[in-house]
Formats: sequence, C-alpha cells, structure tokens
Amino acid sequence: MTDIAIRATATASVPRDYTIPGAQELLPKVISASLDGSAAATAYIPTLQILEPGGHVMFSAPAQTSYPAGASVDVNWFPGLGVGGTSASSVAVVGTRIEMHASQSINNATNTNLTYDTVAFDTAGMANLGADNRKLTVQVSGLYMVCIERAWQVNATNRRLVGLTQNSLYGSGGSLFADDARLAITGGGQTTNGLATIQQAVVGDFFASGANQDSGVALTSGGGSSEYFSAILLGTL
Amino acid sequence: MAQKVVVGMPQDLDLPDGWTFRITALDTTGAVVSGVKVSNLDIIADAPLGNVDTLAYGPFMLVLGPDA
Repeated sequence: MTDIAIRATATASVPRDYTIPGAQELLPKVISASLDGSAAATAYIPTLQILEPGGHVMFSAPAQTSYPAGASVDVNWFPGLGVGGTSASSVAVVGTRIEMHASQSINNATNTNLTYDTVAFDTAGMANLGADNRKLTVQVSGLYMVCIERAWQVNATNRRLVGLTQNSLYGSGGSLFADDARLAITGGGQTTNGLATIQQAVVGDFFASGANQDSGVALTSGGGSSEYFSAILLGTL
Repeated sequence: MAQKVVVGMPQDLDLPDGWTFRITALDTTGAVVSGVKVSNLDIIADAPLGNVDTLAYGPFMLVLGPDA
C-alpha cells in the first residue's frame, strides 16, 4: 500500500482541521506541523486532537511540555511512542491534577459534588473546567491512579466522607467506587480526607468526586493547594 | 530556529470519513491560545480504499509517493 501525504503548506491560525472526506479511510503513520508562537498570547502546548464526526474530541495528544509565547516548534506525532511524547531523558506523564483554591460550602448530611477551579497540570487533556468543573474525562483507555484530598473547616462533630465516582455524580445519586470516611478530629485542627485507588476506564468515561458530612451545620472545604483531584494513566490494557 | 518535538499518538488508528485531525495549541486549562500559527501540516497515511484524489480538497493537496 502506497503512502500518501495530505499537505497544507499555507499558514493559518490554530486550530487547523482536516476532516476525512466521504467514502474514504485513513490509517495515519505520522502527522507533522510547524507552530509559530511569535504572536502567541500565552505559553502553549502543541496538541493533536482527533474528533468524531459529531465534533467531540475523542483523543488528545499534547506535547510533553508547554512552550513560551514567542517560541516556535516543529512537531511530529508518531504512533506507539506513548501518549504525550517521550525524550531520551524523561518519561512522559499522562495525567491531570485539578485543585480547588476557593472554598466550597457543603451542607449537612447532603451528598455534594466537589468542584475545582484550577488546573495544576493536564497532559492527558482530561480537564475542561470551563465546561464542567467537576469531571476528569478519560481520553486514553487504561488503568488510572485516581487520588483525592480534601481538608475541612475546623469542626469536631461527627463524620467526614470524600469519595470518587465514575460516569456518575455523587450529588445526583451516583455510587462511590472508592471513599474515605472518618470521624472529625477533636481538640482543634482540620480534618482531612484522602485516598488513592486504581481504576479502569475507557475513552469517554469520566471521574468525579463527592463529599458528605454530618456535623449538623454547613462546612467549607477547599481554599488551598492540598484540595486536589487527580488521575494519572498507569498504562493501557 | 524552531525546536524539534516528537509526540506519541495512538497506534493502529483506522479512521473513516467524517473523523477529523486537528492541530491546535492549548493552554493548561485546555483553551486555545490565540496568536499561534500553524503551517506545513502533513498527514502521512495509508488510504486502503484507494481513489486518493478525493483526499485533496480546500487548502489541502495530495502528494503521492514514488511508487504511485
């Protein structure tokens, strides 16, 4: 089978799309592009995305690092190197960590969806806080190390619970696949929940997090960098 | 001089019509960074259904290999 090259040499602003035309099929071998960041508004991550016919992004292959405004890069995407790219001196980490730097109020005895306002890193393309600040959406099928930590407003009464859901939301009745429940610390100090687990997911799945507390009053959680939710790809199956 | 970057993508991709390859530049929130320009976009692929002339449209041209 002869290789073909589909080429666009002209310069255009990102994003630049090529949609496979009717009655055709492509098995890509390599995709390359030159990105000129001389007029970039901010630092940027060169990214290849693959969209299904409805326009939804089904996969993202971001570069391993971001490049400052002003920098230009020539990028080659090859299959089988490991998502996110590799180099001779490093192993690409495919994963996402989001944090809640503002405080979130959680009512007494109410299953509550936890929200986030900051992306610490996202080499897996899982976070889109503007669209949904509760979810990490899986772009690569495989096994994930999913972690969460939440600290609570000081209060010594009864229990605190934090947990993880997959393809459901705790506040809407979703079931937790992992959780950490503990009695509040007495004698002062914040109670903190945290857990790490391994979970299998396929493209399109999402992870979310939830909390519940029964102190008798509304409590706040969040407001620091220790309030985070992360998912790191361990490997494909 | 532009930096050279190599990035992985899934193996054994086999995409029918309607699927889209998108080259973009994102910030850490997933938003598109304005002002970034792309050029010299190349997709090297097998086209098992033949009739490769249909793959060239709009700003995209087709460059056949030496054995074509």
